[in-house]
Amino acid sequence: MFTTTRTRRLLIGSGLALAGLLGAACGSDSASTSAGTNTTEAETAGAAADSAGDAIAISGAWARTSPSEVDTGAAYMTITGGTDDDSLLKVEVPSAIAGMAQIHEMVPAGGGTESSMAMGSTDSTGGDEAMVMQEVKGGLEIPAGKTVELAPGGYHVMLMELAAPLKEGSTFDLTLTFDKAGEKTVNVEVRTEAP
Amino acid sequence: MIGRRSRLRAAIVGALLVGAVTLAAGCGSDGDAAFAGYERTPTPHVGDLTLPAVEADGTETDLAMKATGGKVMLVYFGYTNCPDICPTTLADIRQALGDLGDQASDVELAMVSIDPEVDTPEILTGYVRSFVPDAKAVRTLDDARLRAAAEGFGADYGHEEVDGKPQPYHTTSLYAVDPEGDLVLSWTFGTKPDDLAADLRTLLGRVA
Ligand SMILES: [Cu+2]
Repeated sequence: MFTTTRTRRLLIGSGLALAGLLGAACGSDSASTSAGTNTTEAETAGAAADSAGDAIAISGAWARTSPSEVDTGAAYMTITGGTDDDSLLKVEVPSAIAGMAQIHEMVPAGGGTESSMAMGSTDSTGGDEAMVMQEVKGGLEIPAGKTVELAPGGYHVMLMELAAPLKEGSTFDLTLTFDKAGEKTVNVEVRTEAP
Repeated sequence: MIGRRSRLRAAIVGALLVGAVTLAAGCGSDGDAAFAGYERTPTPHVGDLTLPAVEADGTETDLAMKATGGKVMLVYFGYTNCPDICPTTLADIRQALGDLGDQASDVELAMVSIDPEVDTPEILTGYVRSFVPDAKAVRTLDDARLRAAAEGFGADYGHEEVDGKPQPYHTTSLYAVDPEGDLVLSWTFGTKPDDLAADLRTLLGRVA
């Protein structure tokens, strides 16, 4: 994972692969600005070996504690693709936890760039872009051998109609259905802070 | 689909640009690039703006967008029914304040609701104070007033139709205002708590 201080300082939306940029902008090695997707080359050779190299692997599943004032929450995890390209079609949550789970992503609000410029936001950093949440339709692609992070600011499993606030230290199961790998159950740890 | 993809690409490119700027600052050989957040030129002045700080019972007190003397005020535009960006930012602030120890009492936090119809005084105060107990909950149903304040910060917000339903959107930056009412630093979403804490220490050193 991203643990160096420099990388952490850079991590704008988690899940975005800024590691390549780090090298590029400091000029220390060739430019590999892999601005493609939320996937990164599998840095998880070890994990892949552990899981016989073939199967989809899900790790680090957690959900943030939810304030009692709201009935929505979010869960995060790391999914590493298996031998074949696959996609995460749906996520189900026990009704004792929440009424519904969906795969969501944060995207720039329509015309966000134009309107914030029109409003006189003169800095050119691009950091002021307005974001909106939307459901990922048609499944979340999990390319073979790649790691897809569901992390704050990127993808999340949206939990709606929470039966009760998510309390620190509790756990619950989510059932993930993949196009090829089928159903996988993952245990989610509720935490106040990211692991 | 194409629309979404190109928007996503724009977001990623934007994020990378921010990263590049931050990084250039971080690995430059000279200059005072000590911040994880970014400073704007010219520095926006927001101290003449006021918005109502509410209590759970609906009581309102006008709050000027400037820190108390010797302190730094964090201002965040968000909404409570926001499961990802807002709680992440607020939890990161809580963690940064924890890192600051005694100095945390010199950091003020105001969360401004961009969804005030849904965020009643009771919901908004309870929500933000579940993260930071003495935080100010800022809410007005006067959209012109809210819009003017947001513009002062360079923040955008509104509702946009997503899958047939209005979905709130908002600028995800966190802002620091000094006792003069100058917006001295902005952090993009995803700034790590220890970097926030380090920046706050520097800012507090300046206003002390
Ligand atoms: Cu969501």
